[in-house]
Amino acid sequence: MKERGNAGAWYRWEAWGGFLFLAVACLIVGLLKPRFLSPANLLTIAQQASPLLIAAVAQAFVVMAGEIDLSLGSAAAVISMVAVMSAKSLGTVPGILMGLLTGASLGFLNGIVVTRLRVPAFIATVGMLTYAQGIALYLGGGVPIEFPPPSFAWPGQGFLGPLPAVTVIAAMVLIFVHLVLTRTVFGRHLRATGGNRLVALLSGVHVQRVRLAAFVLSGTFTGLSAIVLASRVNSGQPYLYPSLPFEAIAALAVGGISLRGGEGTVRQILLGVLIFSAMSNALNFFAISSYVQQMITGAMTVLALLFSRWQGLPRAKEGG
Amino acid sequence: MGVPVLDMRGISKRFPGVLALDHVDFNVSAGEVHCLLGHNGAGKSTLMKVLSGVYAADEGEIRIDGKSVTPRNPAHARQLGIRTVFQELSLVPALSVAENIFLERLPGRSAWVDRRQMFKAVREILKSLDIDVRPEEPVYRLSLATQQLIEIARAIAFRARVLIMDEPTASLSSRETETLFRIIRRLKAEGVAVVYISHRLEEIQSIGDRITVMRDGRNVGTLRVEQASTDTVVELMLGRRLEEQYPAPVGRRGEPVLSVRDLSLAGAYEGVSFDLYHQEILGITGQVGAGVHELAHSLFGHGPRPRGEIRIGGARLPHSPRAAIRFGMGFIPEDRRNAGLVLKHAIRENMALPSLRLRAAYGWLKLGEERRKMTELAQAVGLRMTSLEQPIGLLSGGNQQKVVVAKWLANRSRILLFAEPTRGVDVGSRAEIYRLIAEQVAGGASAILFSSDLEEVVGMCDRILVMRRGRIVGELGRGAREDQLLALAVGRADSGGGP
Amino acid sequence: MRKGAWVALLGGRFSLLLILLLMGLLFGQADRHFLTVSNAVNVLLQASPLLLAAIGQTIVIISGGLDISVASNVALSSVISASAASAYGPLAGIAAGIGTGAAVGTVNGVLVSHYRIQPVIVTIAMLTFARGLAFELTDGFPITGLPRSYTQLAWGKWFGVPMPILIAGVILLLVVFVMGRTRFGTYLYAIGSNEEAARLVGIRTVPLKAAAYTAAGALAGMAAVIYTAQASSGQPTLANGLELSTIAASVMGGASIGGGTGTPIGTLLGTLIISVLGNGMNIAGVTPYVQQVVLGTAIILAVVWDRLHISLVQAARRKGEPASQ
Repeated sequence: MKERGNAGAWYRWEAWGGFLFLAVACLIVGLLKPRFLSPANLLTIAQQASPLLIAAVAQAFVVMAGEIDLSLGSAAAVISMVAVMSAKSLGTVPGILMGLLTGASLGFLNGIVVTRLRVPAFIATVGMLTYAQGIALYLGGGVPIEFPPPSFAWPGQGFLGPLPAVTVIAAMVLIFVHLVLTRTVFGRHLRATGGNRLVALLSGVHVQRVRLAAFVLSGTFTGLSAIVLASRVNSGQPYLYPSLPFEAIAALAVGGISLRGGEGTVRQILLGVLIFSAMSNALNFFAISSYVQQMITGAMTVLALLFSRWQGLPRAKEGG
Repeated sequence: MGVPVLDMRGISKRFPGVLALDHVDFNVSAGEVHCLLGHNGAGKSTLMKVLSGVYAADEGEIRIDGKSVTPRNPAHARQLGIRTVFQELSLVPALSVAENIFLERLPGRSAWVDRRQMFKAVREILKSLDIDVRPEEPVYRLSLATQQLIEIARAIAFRARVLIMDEPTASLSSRETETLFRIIRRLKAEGVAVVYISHRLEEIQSIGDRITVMRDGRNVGTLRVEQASTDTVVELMLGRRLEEQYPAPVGRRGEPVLSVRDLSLAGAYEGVSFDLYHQEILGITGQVGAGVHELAHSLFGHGPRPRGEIRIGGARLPHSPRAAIRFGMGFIPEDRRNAGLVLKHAIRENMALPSLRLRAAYGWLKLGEERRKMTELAQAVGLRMTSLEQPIGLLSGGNQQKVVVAKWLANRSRILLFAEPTRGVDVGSRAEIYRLIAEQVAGGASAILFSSDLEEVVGMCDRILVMRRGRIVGELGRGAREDQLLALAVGRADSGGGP
Repeated sequence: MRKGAWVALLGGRFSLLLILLLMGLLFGQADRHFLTVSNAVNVLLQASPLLLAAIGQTIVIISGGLDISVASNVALSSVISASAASAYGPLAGIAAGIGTGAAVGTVNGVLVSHYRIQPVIVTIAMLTFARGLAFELTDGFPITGLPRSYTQLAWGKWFGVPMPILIAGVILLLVVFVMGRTRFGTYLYAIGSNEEAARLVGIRTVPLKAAAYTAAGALAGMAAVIYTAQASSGQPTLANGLELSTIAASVMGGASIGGGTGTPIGTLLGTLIISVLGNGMNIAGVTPYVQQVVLGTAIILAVVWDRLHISLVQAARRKGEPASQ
């Protein structure tokens, strides 16, 4: 019995230790730069982290299914263009719906190419990256589409009481995804498919449909992320956020998700995104350029994966 | 006869919990073909792995041409002149025949490969072996049988003192087997010592000089081929293992629940027909390469679509695992770690996977019910664990297998397909798994045991089908003896079947 | 050339030549400027650095990996090469460019082979890292002031052949021989095709796999030097989308994702198709946006074709097996 108690504690440490690390790191930064811990700045971090969090959720769906999506960035660009265009002609709500629909369609296309045409996901989505970038440029003739209706600005810039609307949206997404992953048949099928496709198949999982669904969900959440980003800058941008897929992958790796599929929790996604965003914000305080931040994005991805291997957790032993 | 080329004395090898080799003596003279027989797990492959440098022996001595040697790794063993023709192919599909044969020692000085010399040498080797292939041909274009011959050509391209062949004819036709035998006879003439592992007695009679039978990690008898009648060999092979406890037979038999008619899959099995009855345990057995495992996968709707038909309760079964599960089947695959379990997931998650929908409403899981049900099942199958949330990769083989069985019990499967259910499972858990199978059948399920473990098949099954080379060659009822099965599975030397 | 390779080249890659020919005719019909010698030279000039990078990609794909960081590697190498050239002269610049490329490749290689992280993850991390470093070093501005002798690499001629074409040609031949005639090449094919079997015969797979990435990096560095000379400046924004073009060229040329197949000559044909396509679309006045869409589609089609081909071969092989008697 005592043994089990220890095991429980150990699991809890694995689960929450990262947040402790984050808190300590934030305190240290706060000691050096007191303004870092001011409520206003913490709110800024929350606001900045939110679109990335939604994009990381999008990436997590495909990563858990054992795939990867590198088209997030230009898909988001197309979506922002379509959303702003439709918002201008049809109104804000139809514009948002069109954006989500575009995201879902792009995801569906990725999924079809990967599951039916059996093209490896990284190739299919790099193809989509180029493809979608072309469409994004074509739609606006190479320039941003501006001046959506005023209400379009709400998701990205508005407030719900004291909280930024984006953050509330992101929190709702997290709760929704948490429920999907832990409480639904689909969530289990997704984990099984990513964990070992053969086992999933031999256990009666409709593997192809699950993989396709993962891409469609990923596209839809990319859509949501793109909409709040477009709303924040009040325009559809052909180069909205090119580094989005890479930052999303980095965040997942930092959160402790193995990227080999079959695992990952909402808590890990949140942790990864928070560490990532807090770090970006802190680096600004030290006047470190965005270029260096980009370098850190790359380095962190690899270091996080190496670290989780060295930890010697059962998860890490699986890899290789 | 002089000094034997290969002389292994008192070889012992211990694995955690098992004595895999127990003071084994084994020798081969120049120009001799020494056949090695024994069940799965009898120790033949462990002995050969010690010889080829994969494992280090705990005790004993190996002499090559009278000199004591210790193969440190496969490369070192090759340097000592010990070469293995692997049962599973180890060729590189993208490279040419010539490159494959010379891959470990590409000719030419410095970084450059002397392709002309290589092709010339290979052309000669192939010609002398009577293998009709161009040296430039990429290996992926060759049939499996030809690849097997290339594998052999590779082993003898460099002067081999000892050649180990593990079931070399498993995928060869009779004509190709003849080619192989001609090659072996030539090697004999050149004074190579050949270790020949096979279960086909007629082959052994025609190519072998001596026979050694292994059982439970010991050499239980070495005799000359002329003295080795089928009966003596079978008797040596069977012996008596530690008395296994098998549950009493259920002994009832109802209506047919599963009918297979004229099922064929190219390269695996052909014209397979049988019925499985309600509350029956049916055994299907055969040696390596007989098509037993392929048949198991086909029945469950996995792998290439076979010709012929499978009916359950009169309805035709579509070819997909999902359909098979819907029709009440459950499959315990032979490759537990890669096909049965998601090793990085928890016990509970693995166990619940096929039956999630039974405990869900509109796609939402009832987690409380899941936890309750899985706890119950874990107790029912006698799972030893600290917690249901433990990653399953940390359990022992026997406990892992219990989880795979529990997956299907949770789904209330009525037709259970067990492929090698006790492979890699310790003795204690083995009895528990047998008990589980019997309990399920007593409770109204039916089971098929796809197993190469004859003792298990005889102990458990109400009826046994024996396969050889992709066909069902015999059917035996309860009370069948292992030697009868074995004689059918290997093909009696005097029955004239096979090449 | 191995015996029978010409047959294989013409047999297997015949469709590529045909496509190339058809495209030539088509664009020639659309615009008479297309089928001129000066335009042909122009195409080859554009194709040369792409070919170098694509050959590198092919080597990595043959070894069973993938390099998505090519474009960023080229940008970083370009920036460093230009800085070194303007400070220490053209030779230092060239060495620095190739050296940077090789170093980036080596890091990729070690992470993939020694630490066994998936190639896609390693190289997208490197993609972000190298691009960030390229910008950090230049603050986002091009590095100009290159010595004239350096830009000669782009505009100079040797026996009437423009330097980039000459360099790409020589490297192509070299790689053809290395991949087809040396132990290194044979081992890489073996590793990509069946790593376990390669290990079994005693091939040291870990350093060899890493070396494939180093070679690819060095080739990307060479491409960077030519791009830099052509642009007369080191550019942190250089070569956007190059990873896709190089993968497309390799796959069209017969390199299968998953390893073991592909040839430099095939990659040459793939590169030419991509370059002719781009050039033809330019002349025909197709907007760059649509060009991107076309390229994105082309690579997907190439990979789909490759998958189809593999399953056909496998099906044929299954049929060829003797059924049990």
